[in-house]
Amino acid sequence: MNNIKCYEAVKPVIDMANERFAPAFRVNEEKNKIFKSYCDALDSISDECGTQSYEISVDEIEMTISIAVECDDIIVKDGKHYFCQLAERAIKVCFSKGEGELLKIEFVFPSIWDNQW
Amino acid sequence: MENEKFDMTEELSDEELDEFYKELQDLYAEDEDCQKISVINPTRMKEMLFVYNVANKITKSSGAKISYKVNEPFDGMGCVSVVGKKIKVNNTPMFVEAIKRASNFEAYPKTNGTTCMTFTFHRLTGGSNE
Repeated sequence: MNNIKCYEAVKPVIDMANERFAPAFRVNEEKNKIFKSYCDALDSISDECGTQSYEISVDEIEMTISIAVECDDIIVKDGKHYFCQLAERAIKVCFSKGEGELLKIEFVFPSIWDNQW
Repeated sequence: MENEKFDMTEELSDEELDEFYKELQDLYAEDEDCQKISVINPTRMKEMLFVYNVANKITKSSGAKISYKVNEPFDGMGCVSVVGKKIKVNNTPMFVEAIKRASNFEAYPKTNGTTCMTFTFHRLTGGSNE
């Protein structure tokens, strides 16, 4: 089981992005709150699937936030599963092979920054 | 076989259709000679074909290979598989709708470097596994 919380891993990347996007763009607190709930859902998925790591990046042009998790596999038997709730809110979901024999699932979430001008 | 209960000249509702297929399944289960006969559940089959079409649409840019099989992995079941190096799902609400229609959704890496997503359907035919 992964002991690192998703938002703890994401925060340094968000802070760096804040510095790059400032002063033209600033974090919208409401959007940030929603984004944190996505991270909480990812923690639930991590606990279930035995996630090995998180890979986080921010697209400098679209300003979308990408979070990738690696796990053995994912099985969903119910439409109310956290995975479905999270996937519905993502712009895009990508499945590929990760390190070793792991599955890599990448969620791309909408931007949390607003234009200040 | 008694069929007076259903008026076959009118279209059956989904509930009536389900009841009809349940009666057929029970009927065939009682008759040893009918054990090898499968009755396809058209509602379930339509759902599987819906998911197949959705999978084609939402993974179009990935170059993934989409296929479907009936009576796989077991009799009475079906599955839609999407295999590719990197499977990108662009329409996430449709993707989730497809997962909801299936009995089971699974994604896993394959040993040849590709990734596989499988939507499995139970109760595709009468007398099938649940």
